[in-house]
Amino acid sequence: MPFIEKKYPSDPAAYRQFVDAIAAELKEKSVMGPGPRIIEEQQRRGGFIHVTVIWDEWKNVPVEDRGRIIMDAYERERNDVILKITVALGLTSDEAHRLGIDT
Amino acid sequence: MSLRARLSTVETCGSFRTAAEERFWDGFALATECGDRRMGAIYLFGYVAEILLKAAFYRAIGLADTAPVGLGAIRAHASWQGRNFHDIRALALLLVDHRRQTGAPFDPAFAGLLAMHAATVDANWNESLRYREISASDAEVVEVYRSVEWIRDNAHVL
Repeated sequence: MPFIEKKYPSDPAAYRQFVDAIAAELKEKSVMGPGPRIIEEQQRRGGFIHVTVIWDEWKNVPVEDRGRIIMDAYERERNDVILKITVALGLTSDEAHRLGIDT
Repeated sequence: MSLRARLSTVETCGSFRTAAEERFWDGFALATECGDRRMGAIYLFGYVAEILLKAAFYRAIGLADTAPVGLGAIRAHASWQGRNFHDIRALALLLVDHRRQTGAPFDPAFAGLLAMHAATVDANWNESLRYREISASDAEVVEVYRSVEWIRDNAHVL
């Protein structure tokens, strides 16, 4: 049988730390720094937004959980746009580069 | 009667999904065959993603399984931004956009996964691969397989 290690703990405290970090970045809107890089891409129609968060801390977080973490951070810090978000995606910088998403 | 003569002249959502399933297992056979058939596997897997996304779009615009489908509905959609009708990223985003506009949006986190898996296929595939002489690595075929498998597994809710 293959050995599979899932490092991300199903620990609510760890989940909250990720939400806190992204919410803090949404509040500070820093230009530089090691924190999550948040890309809000306005869509052509309807004022909708695609959010991509590029962050190497995602490395041990299953991709299935990243979007929920992003949405929770937006709900806390940018509740005004929460209903405009149609896509929430978290990628490491390597993943983003492979998919041609890095900016 | 030749194979082409036996083809139905009408394409439907139902026939798309059946064809996608057949191409998926064709690709799987190539991916697991001895010898370097990985490029062929990726070539077929890419079409599986394309066909399933198109079938999902046709269903989202209200077409029944047995109704004829055509590219005109994609071309005419105000949200369509694809480079051509094989553009998998654009097909996924068209579906996301259409669902949002019609009041049946995906959960944004789910839409993010759809966008990611479509982008993963797109990063490794396009329809012109058939003209190219290139080998694919194990990692590339696994990457494409996983994303196509996700799209296939979730086709019923797209």
